[in-house]
Amino acid sequence: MQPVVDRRKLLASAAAAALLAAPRGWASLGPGGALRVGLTGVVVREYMRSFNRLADYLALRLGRPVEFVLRRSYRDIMDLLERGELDAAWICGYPFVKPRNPEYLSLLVAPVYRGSPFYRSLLIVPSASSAASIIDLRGSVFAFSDPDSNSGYLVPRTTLADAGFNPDQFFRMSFFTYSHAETVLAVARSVADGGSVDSYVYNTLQKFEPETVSGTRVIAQSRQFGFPPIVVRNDLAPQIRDRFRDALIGMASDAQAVPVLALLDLDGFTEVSPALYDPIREMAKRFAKAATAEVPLQ
Amino acid sequence: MNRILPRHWSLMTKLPLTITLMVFASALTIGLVVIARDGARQTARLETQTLALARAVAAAGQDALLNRDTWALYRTLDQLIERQQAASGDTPVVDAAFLDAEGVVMAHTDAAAHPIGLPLIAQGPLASRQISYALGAAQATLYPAELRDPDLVHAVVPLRVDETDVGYLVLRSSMQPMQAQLRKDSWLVLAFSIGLALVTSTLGILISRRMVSPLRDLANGIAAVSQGGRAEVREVPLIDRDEIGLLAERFNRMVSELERNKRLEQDLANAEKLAGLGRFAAGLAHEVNNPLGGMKNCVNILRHRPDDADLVRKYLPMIDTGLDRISATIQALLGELRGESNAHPCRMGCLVDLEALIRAEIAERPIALTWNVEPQVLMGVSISCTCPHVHQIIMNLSRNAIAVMPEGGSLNVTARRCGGELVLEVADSGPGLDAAAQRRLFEPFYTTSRQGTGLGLWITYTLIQRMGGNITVDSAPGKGARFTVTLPTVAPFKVPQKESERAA
Repeated sequence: MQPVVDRRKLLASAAAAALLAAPRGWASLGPGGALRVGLTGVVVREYMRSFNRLADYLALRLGRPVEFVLRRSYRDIMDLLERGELDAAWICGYPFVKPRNPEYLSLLVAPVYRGSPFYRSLLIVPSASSAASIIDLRGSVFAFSDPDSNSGYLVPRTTLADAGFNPDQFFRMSFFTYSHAETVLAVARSVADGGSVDSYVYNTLQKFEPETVSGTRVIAQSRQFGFPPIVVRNDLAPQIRDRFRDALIGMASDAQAVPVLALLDLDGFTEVSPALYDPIREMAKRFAKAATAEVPLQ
Repeated sequence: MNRILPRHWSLMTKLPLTITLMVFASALTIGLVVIARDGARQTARLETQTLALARAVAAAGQDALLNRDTWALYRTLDQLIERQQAASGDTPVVDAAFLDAEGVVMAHTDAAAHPIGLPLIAQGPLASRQISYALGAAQATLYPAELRDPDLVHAVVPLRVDETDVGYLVLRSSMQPMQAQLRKDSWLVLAFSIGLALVTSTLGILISRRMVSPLRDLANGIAAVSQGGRAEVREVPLIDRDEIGLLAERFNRMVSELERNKRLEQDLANAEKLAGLGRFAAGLAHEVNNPLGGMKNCVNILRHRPDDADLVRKYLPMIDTGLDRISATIQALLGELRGESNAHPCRMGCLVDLEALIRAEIAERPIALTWNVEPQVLMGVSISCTCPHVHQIIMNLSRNAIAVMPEGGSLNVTARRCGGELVLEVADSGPGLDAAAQRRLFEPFYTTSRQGTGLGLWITYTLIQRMGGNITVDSAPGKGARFTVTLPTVAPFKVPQKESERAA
């Protein structure tokens, strides 16, 4: 445990310094100069402890408070980002690749998960289910995580479309859980006959909530995609952005960050090229085209 | 056999058994009544709680239902019910579901069995009726009893927005945990009743032992008293000062009274015996002394004039007479005291000449004799006596009767058979006897006349006693006297004639 009193003192002094140092004309930070970082369902938002630890760690490194902001959907977080109510966010590759005009976001870093900045989309069913592929789930109930999720929405729908099915008519009923972790729960409880989840979240849950995950079974996995990145608003003060990036990248080599990374089940953060997300971009384009073509796929 | 019937059981058994049964029955009854009341109260509470929970869940899920946000609906069910269960563990929700206005499942706690997007599965006619009742519900309500599954409480809450049906929340909770608790309570009551019965039966045994042991001592004491073995009667120890204690105390007092009376009786008997002996001695002395006086005078006269032949002729017979009288007295006494008598079988007609002897005794006296003796009265019976003895008994009694009627009267002699006994009666119309005279009548030397020796009745009495018989007198002053003699007959008498023939 970090000594709380020390942290508060440090935060107070850091906040005061930041206020004085903040250059005019740049996007305002939160109260007390806090860096406001949005979280989406790409992580297990309910693991408050791990994000508190990460916030504390980053605050020390940045010399200013760091505040994680939770909202129900990816869309809510994107809206906050767009309106400048957030300075940064941990979002999915799919919303990242969606075209924005003007572009107000830039890629900061991507997490390193099991040695690389990649993850996959997993197709899960209840452990008692006999389904062997997504085709077997025809006419059943399906749980999507979020309409703006790559692994939890874009991938399964594209898979169905590629197989010649109309994703809107394939299932008897589908719903959004707005969180990969909730999708796992929905499938484990048989509320849904199948679901599509982020491999990172699924594996993390397996580590921390094995009894929930044991109610599910993975029947398919996608190709690998760029791991949900951390993005910042373009108008974030460069020195803050740089310190934020350096702090995240430095975690992998900082002994103090080891327990925080262990809680997040990550190896660290690394700088990546936006091209990492090109496969998602292509898929999104294809999907948008198919959706607007209004041609029966089946 | 009779031991099996309760009325033959010992108080030591009955008392504890009654106490135990009564305590057991009361404890069990009270306990079961309390449990029954508790059961009714808990059922009502469970119904209220179920309906309240259903309302709360429905309110929480209304927006999600309107928005058809399936997962939010499920989470509402899941979290609210889970929270309710955690807060008050005794609301055992079995399942709950949100249905849309057409009865399609929007969320169900048992999602595997009731898939969303399909109408609620009705298994059996009861389930169909339940569903149609739920879909027709106009307000939050519990299902009527006939529509409920056994041991379940059903609640339905319709969700309406602006006079439009949005859907329904149905919720079922189980009465089983409550019933299990009630069963556990029932066992507890039973165990408590048995425990209480055990304690009270032990107490009952102790109390009854304390109560019964003096009663048993009393019964033994009373038995000892009734058997006459009063010497062995022990005092009953006093334990409590209750009714039984009072009884014991009075019994003890009675025993000590009896002891005292017995001692007095013995003293009295001893005194009587001594007095009787004294009277016997005095009588004997008197009988001997009377002739002795006359004889002494005769001897004195003869000593002064030994040569006077006239005097010798005159006085020697007088001395003889005196000596004879003394001798007769002594002989009579000796004879009776030795009890000499040879038993001879009675002969036919042995009493016949007795009438003549009695008439001779009456002589010229104006006494009317009624002779009621059948000649065959002694035929065919054997009495442990001899004919002369029966003869003597009647003779003695008749002679006394004649003696007390110098002015005349009536004499009634009867002999008859009554059952196995020979009954002799001698009744006179003489002056009668007072109570004191009746008491001493059979003592030796007791007499009411100057002439009597006082030995006649005593001899009669002794004879009768020896024969195993009995003599009573019924008399009062001025009313005459009736002597009744009862003699037992021993066995049929069959051989007198053969014996007499053989003797002949």
